[in-house]
Amino acid sequence: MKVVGCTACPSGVAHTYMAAEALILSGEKYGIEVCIETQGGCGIENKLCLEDIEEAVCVILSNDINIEGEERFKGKKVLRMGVSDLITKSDAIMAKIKKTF
Amino acid sequence: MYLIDKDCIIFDIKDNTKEEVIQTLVCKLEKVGNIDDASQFYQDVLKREKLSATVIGDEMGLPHGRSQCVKRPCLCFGRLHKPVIWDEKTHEEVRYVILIAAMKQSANDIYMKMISSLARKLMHDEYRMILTNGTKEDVYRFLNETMQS
Repeated sequence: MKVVGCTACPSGVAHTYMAAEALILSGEKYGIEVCIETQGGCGIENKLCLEDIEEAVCVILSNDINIEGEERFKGKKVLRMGVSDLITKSDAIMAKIKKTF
Repeated sequence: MYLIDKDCIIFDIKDNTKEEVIQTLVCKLEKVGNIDDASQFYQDVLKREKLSATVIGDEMGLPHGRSQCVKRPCLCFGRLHKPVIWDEKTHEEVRYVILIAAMKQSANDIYMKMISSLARKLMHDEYRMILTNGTKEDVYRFLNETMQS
């Protein structure tokens, strides 16, 4: 099972990256392959490729600020949450995804 | 090439509020010459906290600011004598604080990469242990060795 997502936050210093890492770690726990594109102080990194987006059962997007290139996820199931919540609730999110898909 | 000065690792801080803690750490950064204007940077950091508190679980807080008064990207670490409330809404407390000072225009620079790599490592229990239980030397080594991975 694969999940993709993008994280970004107002200052782009830390939470963008912590949320990405938290989701990847929680994914490992539940046997889900997680690819997260970060849009932060380092620019856009780990840019998602079209195949990954196509294969993903759902898309996780942070909603604190605009995500660049949101049109890429048209037609996909999208989960939106603040970066802080993504960090603290990453396990619960992955458990829910595992159960749902 | 480093992020933190030895002087910027402070243990047993006896402040009672989040604001006092941030003030203590900001003043230290000014003292070692990494930022220009402590009161301006203090305001910048508080502004970010107001958007949403930077508590990240396990009594850890990660206040930060991107500001013109930052001369070089840097960190200041504080371990508190007793936890203080970091998030007024949830009453979550913080005892271990990493203050991050980044420059306004620093996209793609190597320091931003170090900081983002550090942020990722903070999601791993084994690294958090260093901040909660390590010696000053351990903390210093960890916070400056974030380039790998």
